[in-house]
Amino acid sequence: MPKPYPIPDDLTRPFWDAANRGQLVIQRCQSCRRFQHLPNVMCLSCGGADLAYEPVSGRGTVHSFTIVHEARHKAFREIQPYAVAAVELEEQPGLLLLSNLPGTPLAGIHSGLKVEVTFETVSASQRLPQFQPTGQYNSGHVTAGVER
Amino acid sequence: MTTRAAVVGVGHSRMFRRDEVPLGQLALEACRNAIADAGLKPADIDGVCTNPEQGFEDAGSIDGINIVTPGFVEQALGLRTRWGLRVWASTVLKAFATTVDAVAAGRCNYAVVFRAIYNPKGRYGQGANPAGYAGNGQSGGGGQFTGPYGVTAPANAGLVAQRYFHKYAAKREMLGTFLVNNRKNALLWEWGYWYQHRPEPLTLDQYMNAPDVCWPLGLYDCDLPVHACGAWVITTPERARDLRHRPAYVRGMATPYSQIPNRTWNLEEFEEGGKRVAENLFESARIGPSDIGVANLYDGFSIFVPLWAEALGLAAKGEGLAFLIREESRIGGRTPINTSSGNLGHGRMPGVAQLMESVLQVMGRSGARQAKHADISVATAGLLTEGQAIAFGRDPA
Repeated sequence: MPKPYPIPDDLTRPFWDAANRGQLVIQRCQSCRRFQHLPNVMCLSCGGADLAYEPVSGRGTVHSFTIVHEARHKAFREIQPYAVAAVELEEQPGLLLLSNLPGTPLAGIHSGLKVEVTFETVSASQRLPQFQPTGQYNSGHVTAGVER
Repeated sequence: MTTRAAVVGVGHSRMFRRDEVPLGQLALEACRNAIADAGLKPADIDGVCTNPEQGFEDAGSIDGINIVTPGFVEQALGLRTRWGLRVWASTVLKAFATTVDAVAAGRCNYAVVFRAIYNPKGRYGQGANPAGYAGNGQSGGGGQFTGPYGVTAPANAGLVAQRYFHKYAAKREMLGTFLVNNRKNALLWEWGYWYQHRPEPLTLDQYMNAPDVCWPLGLYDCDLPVHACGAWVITTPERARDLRHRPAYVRGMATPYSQIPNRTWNLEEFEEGGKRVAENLFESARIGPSDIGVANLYDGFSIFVPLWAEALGLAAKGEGLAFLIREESRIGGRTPINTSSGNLGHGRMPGVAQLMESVLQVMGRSGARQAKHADISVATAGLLTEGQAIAFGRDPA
Protein backbone atom coordinates (compact mmCIF):
# COMPACT_ATOMS: atom_id res chain seq x y z
CA MET A 1 0.00 0.00 0.00
CA PRO A 2 1.45 3.38 -0.98
CA LYS A 3 2.28 5.82 1.77
CA PRO A 4 0.16 8.96 2.04
CA TYR A 5 1.50 11.87 0.05
CA PRO A 6 1.15 15.59 0.61
CA ILE A 7 -1.46 17.77 -1.08
CA PRO A 8 0.18 21.16 -1.70
CA ASP A 9 -1.92 24.28 -1.26
CA ASP A 10 -1.41 27.90 -2.30
CA LEU A 11 0.74 28.55 0.74
CA THR A 12 2.94 25.47 0.54
CA ARG A 13 3.23 24.79 -3.20
CA PRO A 14 6.70 26.40 -3.56
CA PHE A 15 8.05 24.06 -0.86
CA TRP A 16 6.72 20.96 -2.60
CA ASP A 17 7.62 22.16 -6.12
CA ALA A 18 11.18 22.72 -4.93
CA ALA A 19 11.27 19.22 -3.46
CA ASN A 20 10.34 17.89 -6.89
CA ARG A 21 13.38 19.74 -8.28
CA GLY A 22 15.56 18.20 -5.57
CA GLN A 23 15.86 21.42 -3.64
CA LEU A 24 14.99 22.19 -0.02
CA VAL A 25 13.51 25.66 0.41
CA ILE A 26 12.22 27.21 3.63
CA GLN A 27 9.99 30.21 4.06
CA ARG A 28 11.97 33.25 5.22
CA CYS A 29 10.84 36.66 6.45
CA GLN A 30 12.34 39.35 4.23
CA SER A 31 12.07 41.89 7.08
CA CYS A 32 13.62 40.13 10.09
CA ARG A 33 15.37 37.40 8.05
CA ARG A 34 14.06 34.57 10.23
CA PHE A 35 13.26 31.23 8.66
CA GLN A 36 9.98 29.59 9.61
CA HIS A 37 8.49 26.14 9.13
CA LEU A 38 5.56 25.39 8.88
CA PRO A 39 4.74 27.99 6.22
CA ASN A 40 2.41 30.80 7.26
CA VAL A 41 0.91 33.88 5.61
CA MET A 42 2.86 36.08 8.02
CA CYS A 43 6.09 35.97 9.97
CA LEU A 44 5.35 34.62 13.44
CA SER A 45 8.42 36.43 14.80
CA CYS A 46 7.92 40.01 13.62
CA GLY A 47 4.52 39.99 11.96
CA GLY A 48 6.01 40.82 8.59
CA ALA A 49 4.02 39.88 5.51
CA ASP A 50 6.91 39.82 3.04
CA LEU A 51 7.87 36.18 2.96
CA ALA A 52 9.84 34.23 0.38
CA TYR A 53 11.04 30.66 0.01
CA GLU A 54 14.84 30.51 0.07
CA PRO A 55 17.12 27.53 -0.53
CA VAL A 56 18.87 26.17 2.54
CA SER A 57 21.92 23.96 2.91
CA GLY A 58 19.94 20.82 3.67
CA ARG A 59 22.38 20.05 6.47
CA GLY A 60 21.28 19.57 10.04
CA THR A 61 21.39 17.40 13.13
CA VAL A 62 18.89 15.07 14.76
CA HIS A 63 17.19 17.15 17.46
CA SER A 64 14.96 14.36 18.72
CA PHE A 65 13.60 11.08 17.42
CA THR A 66 11.19 8.28 18.17
CA ILE A 67 10.73 4.74 16.91
CA VAL A 68 7.12 4.14 15.96
CA HIS A 69 5.87 0.64 16.72
CA GLU A 70 2.15 1.45 16.50
CA ALA A 71 1.31 3.36 13.32
CA ARG A 72 -2.13 4.60 12.34
CA HIS A 73 -1.98 4.56 8.54
CA LYS A 74 -2.00 1.14 6.92
CA ALA A 75 1.05 1.84 4.77
CA PHE A 76 3.05 2.67 7.87
CA ARG A 77 1.70 -0.31 9.77
CA GLU A 78 3.23 -2.46 7.03
CA ILE A 79 6.71 -1.02 7.59
CA GLN A 80 6.72 -0.47 11.36
CA PRO A 81 8.88 -0.07 13.36
CA TYR A 82 10.16 3.07 11.65
CA ALA A 83 11.85 6.25 12.80
CA VAL A 84 10.44 9.75 13.00
CA ALA A 85 13.12 12.35 13.62
CA ALA A 86 12.95 16.11 14.09
CA VAL A 87 15.95 17.50 12.22
CA GLU A 88 17.28 20.91 13.25
CA LEU A 89 18.63 22.72 10.19
CA GLU A 90 22.03 24.37 10.61
CA GLU A 91 20.63 27.73 9.43
CA GLN A 92 18.76 28.50 12.64
CA PRO A 93 18.32 27.00 16.13
CA GLY A 94 14.87 25.48 16.54
CA LEU A 95 14.22 25.26 12.79
CA LEU A 96 12.85 21.73 12.70
CA LEU A 97 11.83 19.45 9.81
CA LEU A 98 10.57 15.90 10.06
CA SER A 99 12.19 12.88 8.50
CA ASN A 100 12.05 9.10 8.65
CA LEU A 101 15.82 8.89 8.09
CA PRO A 102 15.25 6.29 5.33
CA GLY A 103 17.95 3.69 4.97
CA THR A 104 19.42 4.45 8.38
CA PRO A 105 19.56 1.50 10.81
CA LEU A 106 17.26 2.31 13.74
CA ALA A 107 20.01 1.44 16.23
CA GLY A 108 22.29 3.99 14.62
CA ILE A 109 20.06 6.99 15.26
CA HIS A 110 21.03 9.31 18.09
CA SER A 111 20.60 12.92 19.16
CA GLY A 112 23.13 15.12 17.41
CA LEU A 113 23.55 12.76 14.42
CA LYS A 114 24.63 14.87 11.44
CA VAL A 115 22.28 14.49 8.49
CA GLU A 116 21.68 15.94 5.05
CA VAL A 117 18.63 16.21 2.88
CA THR A 118 17.59 13.68 0.27
CA PHE A 119 14.30 13.27 -1.57
CA GLU A 120 11.96 10.31 -1.48
CA THR A 121 9.48 9.70 -4.28
CA VAL A 122 6.12 9.15 -2.62
CA SER A 123 3.80 9.46 -5.60
CA ALA A 124 3.94 9.96 -9.34
CA SER A 125 3.76 13.69 -8.78
CA GLN A 126 5.51 14.31 -5.49
CA ARG A 127 8.88 13.90 -3.80
CA LEU A 128 9.30 14.30 -0.10
CA PRO A 129 12.27 15.86 1.73
CA GLN A 130 13.97 13.25 3.88
CA PHE A 131 17.33 13.16 5.64
CA GLN A 132 20.12 10.65 5.96
CA PRO A 133 23.45 10.58 7.77
CA THR A 134 25.97 12.94 6.16
CA GLY A 135 28.31 11.37 3.65
CA GLN A 136 26.19 8.30 3.08
CA TYR A 137 25.45 9.42 -0.46
CA ASN A 138 26.94 12.15 -2.62
CA SER A 139 26.21 15.33 -0.78
CA GLY A 140 24.10 17.83 -2.66
CA HIS A 141 23.00 15.36 -5.29
CA VAL A 142 19.46 14.31 -5.74
CA THR A 143 18.90 10.73 -4.72
CA ALA A 144 15.71 9.83 -6.44
CA GLY A 145 13.20 7.54 -4.87
CA VAL A 146 14.89 6.35 -1.71
CA GLU A 147 12.95 3.25 -0.81
CA ARG A 148 13.20 1.14 2.27
CA MET B 1 -14.36 39.17 48.36
CA THR B 2 -12.92 38.77 44.88
CA THR B 3 -13.81 35.11 44.38
CA ARG B 4 -16.90 35.04 42.22
CA ALA B 5 -17.75 31.36 41.75
CA ALA B 6 -17.49 28.02 43.50
CA VAL B 7 -18.01 24.36 42.67
CA VAL B 8 -20.70 22.84 44.85
CA GLY B 9 -21.25 19.43 43.29
CA VAL B 10 -19.32 16.81 41.34
CA GLY B 11 -20.69 13.78 39.54
CA HIS B 12 -19.51 10.97 37.32
CA SER B 13 -21.22 8.28 35.31
CA ARG B 14 -20.40 4.60 35.32
CA MET B 15 -17.12 3.97 33.51
CA PHE B 16 -17.04 1.87 30.32
CA ARG B 17 -14.15 0.92 28.08
CA ARG B 18 -16.36 1.25 24.96
CA ASP B 19 -19.88 2.29 23.98
CA GLU B 20 -21.90 -0.44 25.65
CA VAL B 21 -24.31 2.24 26.90
CA PRO B 22 -25.45 5.28 24.89
CA LEU B 23 -23.31 8.27 25.78
CA GLY B 24 -26.37 10.45 26.39
CA GLN B 25 -27.48 8.14 29.16
CA LEU B 26 -24.07 8.45 30.84
CA ALA B 27 -24.15 12.24 30.50
CA LEU B 28 -27.51 12.32 32.29
CA GLU B 29 -26.12 10.05 35.01
CA ALA B 30 -23.15 12.36 35.57
CA CYS B 31 -25.24 15.54 35.56
CA ARG B 32 -27.89 14.08 37.88
CA ASN B 33 -25.15 12.88 40.25
CA ALA B 34 -23.47 16.30 40.31
CA ILE B 35 -26.78 18.11 40.91
CA ALA B 36 -27.73 15.69 43.71
CA ASP B 37 -24.22 15.97 45.17
CA ALA B 38 -24.81 19.71 45.53
CA GLY B 39 -28.12 19.07 47.24
CA LEU B 40 -29.99 20.63 44.33
CA LYS B 41 -32.69 19.47 41.90
CA PRO B 42 -32.69 19.78 38.10
CA ALA B 43 -35.33 22.49 38.49
CA ASP B 44 -32.69 24.68 40.22
CA ILE B 45 -30.27 24.49 37.27
CA ASP B 46 -30.46 27.45 34.89
CA GLY B 47 -27.14 27.18 33.05
CA VAL B 48 -25.56 24.37 30.97
CA CYS B 49 -22.30 24.06 29.08
CA THR B 50 -20.00 21.49 27.51
CA ASN B 51 -17.45 20.93 24.74
CA PRO B 52 -19.06 18.00 22.86
CA GLU B 53 -16.43 17.36 20.17
CA GLN B 54 -14.49 14.12 20.46
CA GLY B 55 -10.72 13.86 20.26
CA PHE B 56 -10.57 11.83 17.07
CA GLU B 57 -11.90 12.19 13.55
CA ASP B 58 -14.95 10.31 12.29
CA ALA B 59 -16.47 10.14 15.76
CA GLY B 60 -19.88 10.91 14.28
CA SER B 61 -22.25 13.64 15.38
CA ILE B 62 -25.45 11.97 16.57
CA ASP B 63 -26.50 13.76 19.73
CA GLY B 64 -26.75 11.28 22.58
CA ILE B 65 -24.70 8.60 20.81
CA ASN B 66 -21.42 10.08 19.51
CA ILE B 67 -21.56 13.42 21.26
CA VAL B 68 -23.73 15.04 23.91
CA THR B 69 -24.67 18.70 23.48
CA PRO B 70 -25.95 21.17 26.08
CA GLY B 71 -29.34 20.91 24.35
CA PHE B 72 -29.53 17.16 24.92
CA VAL B 73 -29.06 17.54 28.66
CA GLU B 74 -31.36 20.56 28.83
CA GLN B 75 -34.18 18.63 27.15
CA ALA B 76 -33.67 15.33 28.93
CA LEU B 77 -33.46 16.88 32.40
CA GLY B 78 -36.19 19.41 31.66
CA LEU B 79 -33.94 22.32 32.55
CA ARG B 80 -35.18 25.87 32.17
CA THR B 81 -31.91 27.54 31.27
CA ARG B 82 -31.15 31.24 31.20
CA TRP B 83 -27.64 30.58 29.87
CA GLY B 84 -26.12 27.78 27.82
CA LEU B 85 -23.15 27.37 25.50
CA ARG B 86 -21.46 24.79 23.29
CA VAL B 87 -17.69 25.36 23.49
CA TRP B 88 -15.16 24.18 20.92
CA ALA B 89 -12.22 22.75 22.85
CA SER B 90 -10.50 19.45 23.47
CA THR B 91 -10.31 19.53 27.25
CA VAL B 92 -13.19 20.41 29.57
CA LEU B 93 -11.25 23.19 31.31
CA LYS B 94 -12.32 25.79 28.75
CA ALA B 95 -16.01 24.90 29.07
CA PHE B 96 -15.59 24.89 32.83
CA ALA B 97 -13.89 28.31 32.87
CA THR B 98 -16.56 29.78 30.60
CA THR B 99 -19.24 28.48 32.95
CA VAL B 100 -17.45 30.07 35.91
CA ASP B 101 -17.49 33.38 34.01
CA ALA B 102 -21.20 33.05 33.22
CA VAL B 103 -22.06 32.45 36.87
CA ALA B 104 -19.77 35.28 38.00
CA ALA B 105 -21.44 37.62 35.50
CA GLY B 106 -24.88 36.76 36.82
CA ARG B 107 -26.04 35.10 33.59
CA CYS B 108 -27.26 32.10 35.59
CA ASN B 109 -27.42 31.05 39.23
CA TYR B 110 -26.64 27.33 39.18
CA ALA B 111 -24.89 25.93 36.14
CA VAL B 112 -23.98 22.38 35.22
CA VAL B 113 -20.92 21.78 33.06
CA PHE B 114 -20.15 18.28 31.80
CA ARG B 115 -17.82 16.36 29.50
CA ALA B 116 -18.97 13.16 27.77
CA ILE B 117 -16.32 11.05 26.05
CA TYR B 118 -17.25 8.55 23.35
CA ASN B 119 -15.21 5.45 22.53
CA PRO B 120 -16.65 3.30 19.75
CA LYS B 121 -15.83 -0.35 19.22
CA GLY B 122 -12.71 -1.17 17.26
CA ARG B 123 -9.24 0.30 17.36
CA TYR B 124 -9.11 3.96 18.38
CA GLY B 125 -8.38 6.23 15.44
CA GLN B 126 -8.31 3.32 12.99
CA GLY B 127 -11.44 4.39 11.15
CA ALA B 128 -11.53 5.12 7.44
CA ASN B 129 -9.77 8.44 8.00
CA PRO B 130 -7.17 8.25 10.74
CA ALA B 131 -6.11 11.63 12.08
CA GLY B 132 -4.16 13.65 9.56
CA TYR B 133 -5.10 11.63 6.50
CA ALA B 134 -7.75 12.30 3.93
CA GLY B 135 -9.72 9.27 2.83
CA ASN B 136 -7.75 8.86 -0.38
CA GLY B 137 -4.44 8.38 1.38
CA GLN B 138 -3.29 11.93 0.81
CA SER B 139 -2.45 14.48 3.47
CA GLY B 140 -3.70 18.01 3.06
CA GLY B 141 -3.76 21.12 5.20
CA GLY B 142 -1.37 21.12 8.13
CA GLY B 143 -1.25 17.33 7.86
CA GLN B 144 0.78 17.57 4.65
CA PHE B 145 3.92 18.02 6.75
CA THR B 146 3.21 15.18 9.19
CA GLY B 147 1.02 12.56 7.48
CA PRO B 148 3.60 11.59 4.83
CA TYR B 149 6.09 10.88 7.62
CA GLY B 150 3.72 8.62 9.57
CA VAL B 151 3.55 10.99 12.53
CA THR B 152 0.90 10.17 15.14
CA ALA B 153 0.13 11.75 18.52
CA PRO B 154 2.18 9.10 20.34
CA ALA B 155 5.04 9.73 17.89
CA ASN B 156 4.94 13.40 18.82
CA ALA B 157 5.01 12.46 22.50
CA GLY B 158 7.92 10.11 21.79
CA LEU B 159 9.88 12.99 20.25
CA VAL B 160 9.30 15.08 23.38
CA ALA B 161 10.22 12.21 25.71
CA GLN B 162 13.42 11.28 23.84
CA ARG B 163 14.51 14.91 23.88
CA TYR B 164 13.75 15.19 27.61
CA PHE B 165 15.67 12.02 28.45
CA HIS B 166 18.63 13.09 26.35
CA LYS B 167 18.76 16.72 27.52
CA TYR B 168 18.30 16.06 31.22
CA ALA B 169 19.92 12.62 31.51
CA ALA B 170 16.63 11.16 32.77
CA LYS B 171 15.76 7.50 32.39
CA ARG B 172 12.78 5.39 31.44
CA GLU B 173 13.03 3.69 34.83
CA MET B 174 12.16 7.03 36.45
CA LEU B 175 9.02 7.37 34.36
CA GLY B 176 8.23 3.74 35.21
CA THR B 177 8.68 4.36 38.93
CA PHE B 178 6.28 7.28 38.71
CA LEU B 179 3.75 5.10 36.86
CA VAL B 180 4.00 2.26 39.38
CA ASN B 181 3.03 4.75 42.08
CA ASN B 182 0.40 6.34 39.86
CA ARG B 183 -1.34 2.97 39.57
CA LYS B 184 -1.49 2.85 43.38
CA ASN B 185 -3.32 6.18 43.22
CA ALA B 186 -5.60 4.74 40.52
CA LEU B 187 -6.66 1.98 42.90
CA LEU B 188 -7.89 4.71 45.29
CA TRP B 189 -9.83 6.53 42.55
CA GLU B 190 -13.26 4.93 42.49
CA TRP B 191 -14.52 6.51 39.25
CA GLY B 192 -11.62 5.35 37.10
CA TYR B 193 -11.14 2.60 34.56
CA TRP B 194 -8.40 0.75 36.45
CA TYR B 195 -10.26 0.89 39.78
CA GLN B 196 -13.50 -0.40 38.28
CA HIS B 197 -12.31 -2.83 35.64
CA ARG B 198 -8.74 -3.89 36.33
CA PRO B 199 -7.87 -3.24 39.99
CA GLU B 200 -4.34 -4.56 39.72
CA PRO B 201 -0.96 -3.04 40.63
CA LEU B 202 1.69 -2.22 38.03
CA THR B 203 5.26 -3.40 38.57
CA LEU B 204 8.38 -1.78 37.21
CA ASP B 205 9.15 -5.01 35.33
CA GLN B 206 5.75 -4.88 33.65
CA TYR B 207 6.38 -1.28 32.71
CA MET B 208 9.87 -1.89 31.33
CA ASN B 209 8.82 -5.00 29.39
CA ALA B 210 5.58 -3.61 27.96
CA PRO B 211 5.35 -3.22 24.17
CA ASP B 212 6.84 -0.05 22.76
CA VAL B 213 4.31 2.34 21.26
CA CYS B 214 6.64 5.10 20.18
CA TRP B 215 9.97 4.45 21.83
CA PRO B 216 10.98 5.65 24.38
CA LEU B 217 7.29 5.57 25.31
CA GLY B 218 5.52 2.25 25.82
CA LEU B 219 2.05 0.94 26.49
CA TYR B 220 1.71 2.30 30.04
CA ASP B 221 2.85 5.80 29.06
CA CYS B 222 -0.34 6.26 27.03
CA ASP B 223 -3.83 6.81 28.44
CA LEU B 224 -6.60 4.38 27.61
CA PRO B 225 -9.67 5.49 25.61
CA VAL B 226 -12.85 5.12 27.65
CA HIS B 227 -16.56 5.90 27.44
CA ALA B 228 -18.04 7.95 30.30
CA CYS B 229 -19.03 11.42 31.51
CA GLY B 230 -18.07 13.77 34.35
CA ALA B 231 -20.02 16.83 35.57
CA TRP B 232 -19.81 19.77 37.97
CA VAL B 233 -22.25 22.27 39.42
CA ILE B 234 -21.07 25.86 39.74
CA THR B 235 -22.72 28.76 41.57
CA THR B 236 -21.84 32.03 43.30
CA PRO B 237 -19.98 31.99 46.66
CA GLU B 238 -23.08 33.47 48.34
CA ARG B 239 -25.37 30.67 47.12
CA ALA B 240 -22.65 28.08 47.72
CA ARG B 241 -22.66 28.67 51.46
CA ASP B 242 -26.17 27.26 51.87
CA LEU B 243 -25.51 23.98 50.06
CA ARG B 244 -24.51 20.50 51.15
CA HIS B 245 -20.72 20.56 50.97
CA ARG B 246 -17.98 22.97 51.79
CA PRO B 247 -17.54 24.75 48.42
CA ALA B 248 -14.45 24.60 46.23
CA TYR B 249 -13.77 28.24 45.43
CA VAL B 250 -12.44 29.05 41.97
CA ARG B 251 -9.37 31.13 42.74
CA GLY B 252 -7.78 31.59 39.35
CA MET B 253 -7.95 30.41 35.74
CA ALA B 254 -5.62 30.38 32.74
CA THR B 255 -7.20 29.44 29.43
CA PRO B 256 -5.08 31.04 26.68
CA TYR B 257 -5.82 30.56 23.01
CA SER B 258 -2.41 29.58 21.76
CA GLN B 259 -2.94 26.51 19.67
CA ILE B 260 -0.60 26.11 16.74
CA PRO B 261 -2.37 23.48 14.64
CA ASN B 262 -0.59 20.46 13.22
CA ARG B 263 2.75 21.48 14.61
CA THR B 264 5.18 18.77 15.58
CA TRP B 265 5.46 18.70 19.36
CA ASN B 266 8.76 19.94 20.65
CA LEU B 267 10.16 19.93 24.18
CA GLU B 268 11.37 23.50 24.16
CA GLU B 269 8.02 24.85 22.94
CA PHE B 270 6.23 22.81 25.59
CA GLU B 271 8.50 24.29 28.25
CA GLU B 272 7.82 27.84 27.08
CA GLY B 273 4.08 27.23 26.66
CA GLY B 274 3.71 25.64 30.09
CA LYS B 275 5.56 28.54 31.68
CA ARG B 276 3.15 31.01 30.08
CA VAL B 277 0.11 29.09 31.35
CA ALA B 278 1.61 28.92 34.87
CA GLU B 279 2.44 32.64 34.95
CA ASN B 280 -1.08 33.41 33.76
CA LEU B 281 -2.57 31.19 36.48
CA PHE B 282 -0.40 32.61 39.27
CA GLU B 283 -1.30 36.15 38.25
CA SER B 284 -5.00 35.30 38.08
CA ALA B 285 -5.06 33.46 41.42
CA ARG B 286 -2.45 35.66 43.09
CA ILE B 287 -0.56 32.61 44.28
CA GLY B 288 2.90 31.17 43.74
CA PRO B 289 4.29 27.65 43.40
CA SER B 290 4.73 27.22 47.17
CA ASP B 291 1.01 27.84 47.76
CA ILE B 292 0.05 24.71 45.79
CA GLY B 293 -0.89 21.96 48.23
CA VAL B 294 -1.92 19.34 45.69
CA ALA B 295 -1.84 19.27 41.88
CA ASN B 296 -3.52 17.11 39.27
CA LEU B 297 -1.50 17.57 36.11
CA TYR B 298 -2.59 16.49 32.66
CA ASP B 299 -1.09 13.21 31.51
CA GLY B 300 -2.50 12.15 28.16
CA PHE B 301 1.07 10.88 27.83
CA SER B 302 3.15 10.30 30.97
CA ILE B 303 5.92 12.65 29.85
CA PHE B 304 3.54 15.63 30.24
CA VAL B 305 3.50 15.27 34.04
CA PRO B 306 7.12 16.27 34.76
CA LEU B 307 6.77 19.08 32.23
CA TRP B 308 3.67 20.48 33.96
CA ALA B 309 5.37 20.11 37.37
CA GLU B 310 8.34 22.09 36.06
CA ALA B 311 6.13 24.73 34.42
CA LEU B 312 4.31 25.32 37.71
CA GLY B 313 7.61 25.69 39.56
CA LEU B 314 7.05 22.55 41.66
CA ALA B 315 10.38 21.28 40.31
CA ALA B 316 13.31 22.95 38.59
CA LYS B 317 13.68 22.61 34.82
CA GLY B 318 14.79 19.10 33.97
CA GLU B 319 14.09 17.84 37.49
CA GLY B 320 10.39 17.09 37.17
CA LEU B 321 10.86 13.34 36.91
CA ALA B 322 13.20 13.26 39.91
CA PHE B 323 10.52 15.20 41.85
CA LEU B 324 7.79 12.79 40.78
CA ILE B 325 9.56 9.76 42.22
CA ARG B 326 10.24 11.39 45.60
CA GLU B 327 7.97 10.89 48.63
CA GLU B 328 7.00 14.57 48.69
CA SER B 329 4.98 14.19 45.48
CA ARG B 330 3.12 11.07 46.64
CA ILE B 331 -0.05 10.77 48.67
CA GLY B 332 0.97 11.61 52.23
CA GLY B 333 3.82 13.82 50.98
CA ARG B 334 4.10 17.59 51.08
CA THR B 335 2.75 18.25 47.56
CA PRO B 336 1.04 15.15 46.22
CA ILE B 337 0.76 15.00 42.42
CA ASN B 338 -2.01 13.27 40.49
CA THR B 339 -3.88 11.92 43.50
CA SER B 340 -6.65 11.12 40.98
CA SER B 341 -4.15 9.06 38.92
CA GLY B 342 -4.97 11.37 36.00
CA ASN B 343 -5.87 10.20 32.52
CA LEU B 344 -3.46 7.30 32.97
CA GLY B 345 -5.54 5.87 35.81
CA HIS B 346 -8.96 7.28 35.05
CA GLY B 347 -9.04 6.89 31.28
CA ARG B 348 -8.80 9.30 28.36
CA MET B 349 -11.13 12.08 29.53
CA PRO B 350 -8.88 15.14 29.28
CA GLY B 351 -9.35 17.37 32.31
CA VAL B 352 -12.12 15.33 33.96
CA ALA B 353 -10.22 13.48 36.71
CA GLN B 354 -7.93 16.50 37.11
CA LEU B 355 -10.86 18.88 37.77
CA MET B 356 -12.89 16.43 39.87
CA GLU B 357 -10.07 15.66 42.24
CA SER B 358 -8.87 19.26 42.52
CA VAL B 359 -12.40 20.17 43.62
CA LEU B 360 -12.71 17.24 46.04
CA GLN B 361 -9.31 17.98 47.61
CA VAL B 362 -10.15 21.55 48.67
CA MET B 363 -13.61 20.38 49.76
CA GLY B 364 -11.79 17.91 52.02
CA ARG B 365 -13.59 14.95 50.44
CA SER B 366 -10.68 12.97 48.98
CA GLY B 367 -10.63 10.33 51.71
CA ALA B 368 -7.54 8.09 51.49
CA ARG B 369 -6.15 10.43 48.82
CA GLN B 370 -6.57 13.58 50.90
CA ALA B 371 -3.57 15.93 50.83
CA LYS B 372 -2.34 17.37 54.12
CA HIS B 373 -2.26 20.96 52.93
CA ALA B 374 -5.13 21.19 50.49
CA ASP B 375 -5.73 24.93 50.86
CA ILE B 376 -4.96 25.40 47.18
CA SER B 377 -5.26 22.75 44.46
CA VAL B 378 -4.37 23.09 40.80
CA ALA B 379 -5.70 21.22 37.76
CA THR B 380 -4.07 21.43 34.34
CA ALA B 381 -5.07 20.00 30.99
CA GLY B 382 -3.96 19.96 27.39
CA LEU B 383 -0.67 20.02 25.55
CA LEU B 384 1.56 22.56 27.26
CA THR B 385 1.61 24.78 24.17
CA GLU B 386 -2.17 25.10 24.32
CA GLY B 387 -2.80 24.16 27.94
CA GLN B 388 -5.14 25.41 30.60
CA ALA B 389 -4.91 25.58 34.38
CA ILE B 390 -7.41 26.28 37.15
CA ALA B 391 -6.70 26.87 40.85
CA PHE B 392 -9.21 26.08 43.59
CA GLY B 393 -9.20 27.29 47.19
CA ARG B 394 -10.55 25.91 50.42
CA ASP B 395 -11.43 29.52 51.17
CA PRO B 396 -12.46 32.41 48.94
CA ALA B 397 -10.05 35.26 48.29
